[in-house]
Amino acid sequence: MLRRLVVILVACTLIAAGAAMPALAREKITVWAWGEAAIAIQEQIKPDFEKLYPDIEVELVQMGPWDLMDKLLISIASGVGAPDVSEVLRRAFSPYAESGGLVDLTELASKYENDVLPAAWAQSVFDGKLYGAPGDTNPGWVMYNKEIFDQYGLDPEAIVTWQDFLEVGQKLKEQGVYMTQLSIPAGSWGANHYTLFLNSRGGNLFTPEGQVIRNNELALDTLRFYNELKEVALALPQNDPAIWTAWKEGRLATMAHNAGQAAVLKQLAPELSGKIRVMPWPLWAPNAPATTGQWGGANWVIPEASTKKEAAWKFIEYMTFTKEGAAAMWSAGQLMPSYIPALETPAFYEPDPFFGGQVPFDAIRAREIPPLYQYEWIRAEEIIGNAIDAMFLQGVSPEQAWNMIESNLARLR
Amino acid sequence: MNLIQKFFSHKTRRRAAPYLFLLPFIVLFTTFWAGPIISSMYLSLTRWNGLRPPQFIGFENYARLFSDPVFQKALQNTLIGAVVYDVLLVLMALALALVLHLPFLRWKSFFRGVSILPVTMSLAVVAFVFQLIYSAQGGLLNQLLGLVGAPPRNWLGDPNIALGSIIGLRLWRAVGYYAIILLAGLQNIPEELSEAAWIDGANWFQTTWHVTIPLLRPVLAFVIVTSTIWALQLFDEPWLLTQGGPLDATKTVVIYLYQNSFRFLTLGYGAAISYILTLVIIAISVIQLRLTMTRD
Repeated sequence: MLRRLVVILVACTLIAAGAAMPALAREKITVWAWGEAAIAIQEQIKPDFEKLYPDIEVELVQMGPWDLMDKLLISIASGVGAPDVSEVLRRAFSPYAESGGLVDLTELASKYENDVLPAAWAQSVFDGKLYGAPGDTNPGWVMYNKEIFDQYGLDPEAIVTWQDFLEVGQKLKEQGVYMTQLSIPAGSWGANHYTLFLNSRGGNLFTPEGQVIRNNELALDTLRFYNELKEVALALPQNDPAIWTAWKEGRLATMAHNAGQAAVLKQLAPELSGKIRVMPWPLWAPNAPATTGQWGGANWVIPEASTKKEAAWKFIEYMTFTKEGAAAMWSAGQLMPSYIPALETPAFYEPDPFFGGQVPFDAIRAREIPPLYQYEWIRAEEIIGNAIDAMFLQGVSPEQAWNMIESNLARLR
Repeated sequence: MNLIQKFFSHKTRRRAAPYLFLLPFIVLFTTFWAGPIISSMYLSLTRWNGLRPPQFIGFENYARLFSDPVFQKALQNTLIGAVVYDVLLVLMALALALVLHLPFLRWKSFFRGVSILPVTMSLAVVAFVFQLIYSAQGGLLNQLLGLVGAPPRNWLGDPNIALGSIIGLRLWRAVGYYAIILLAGLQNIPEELSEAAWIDGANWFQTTWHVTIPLLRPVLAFVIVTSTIWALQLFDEPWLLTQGGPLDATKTVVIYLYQNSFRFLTLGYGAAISYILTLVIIAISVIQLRLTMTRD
């Protein structure tokens, strides 16, 4: 009898211990990310998050953006191997949002809607539902080489409008200095660069509903401007090392681009530290609204296949909708968060030695970002890039190039 | 004798043995080759974005291919690129192999090692180096042109020469590799045949043309067929350097296939492109084999 009682007691103890095990084990979530966001997660967000949620462990898998997109597509298509959280290129987001393969975050995230840049929120919604938490929003600014400006007696504050920018560019061209840089072949870089300019004027190629805007005079006029900009620009393939050489040799005065390019410049030309400054995106007319464009940024999604959706959401919420998480993104690589309250944190107002002690965020907060609507965008990039190439390389007029864009985009939607 | 005993009888085991040895191959082949080939045939008949269930549309993707100007441009680039590349490759690899085979050449091992180096290098590194060589701003080629007073060219940005620049890079990578294969073939040709030709009064060129090259035909056939297949699948170099631009001048069929499948999320259309490419490769390979191996 006693032996039987001991056996029962031991069995009960073992069962109780077994039942308690899952509570003690940490829940591991897999996060796929690229570039600066991955660095921010690894260095700051992951340790801080795991301190805040000791029962959740974050496993970061870092890869290139398109490598990630390919793998995410395959994992969603096959239903196997999807992460719990993934970064997604916002400009390639629409088919993922439409797919039904992502968790609807509307209910979880709606309380943050008023705190998020409307432009970024609008791009993350499909059919009235939010399928991705807006992460960074890569706005336009102008980095410039202060030494060149000093050498030629140029005042950066005198560049108020893009017309001023072109005029300074003409003066520098006479001295053998390029005012800025463009991509030839244009490809996706050229297409998004042009769109950055268009968006900064409040322009779009698509309506919020995804229809192509016809007789788009603003888009045509921006193409005319882009053609003029080429006259003062160093036009090379996007990854051509000669771009960074030109920076280092003082033959490139500015880079009017997305803010994320600062991280690339810091990495590839560290010797320029202290010589570079940033200025806000010039205006389109002296009395025009103070706006800049956006390059696209990224969204954070939870695939339906994830079995740890609750933990995944906690991570996304911490990363995108807390001041700490969003500030870490900025510190790691000038990734400006879409979460507006984060912009009050000291991280955004720290002087940056690379920019000679300037507070680079000042150049961004001086500008509003209009909404950008991107549909079938990866195809649209091809169409826009080819039209820009035709304009730059074959002497096609901006009007003809615009006709190419409009008619080909219309075939998409 | 019960069934189990019968199954494990010596005779049955003997008969089953080869099939059991083949089983791992059959399983792997079915899983990783036949399965995807058959399923992609089905997918080529569907509209599928990879995210929602495929929708059967018959031969619509194939019909669309024949009226798609970008596909036609990509096919044209691929075929022109393959022909130019293949002709130059065979001539250059054969020339290099003949030089490496010269009896009086010293440091043969060193030169053979150097010849094969380009193909062993990481393509990302090679692409970076070639960007420096081809750069329109101070690139090595333009500096050389400057020495002879010629104007600089935009090697990767000019649609008229971008494909040629890509072929140049591919040739730099491949010539040494194929030269080593041809060299192995040359070393298998009995020296007595060349010596007999020399005794009969043939010079080096005549011996090479009338004796060496005809005997090298099987190896040449291998080089031509494999290098053509490689050329028809051209992807990495143009993708890294130009992404198919400018103006689709370096867009190949495989780039267009990749774009459709993974960038535009039209995987059914991508599968149709892959089937057309496969048919092109098979047709060209058969023609090449027939032409090069006729006398055998």
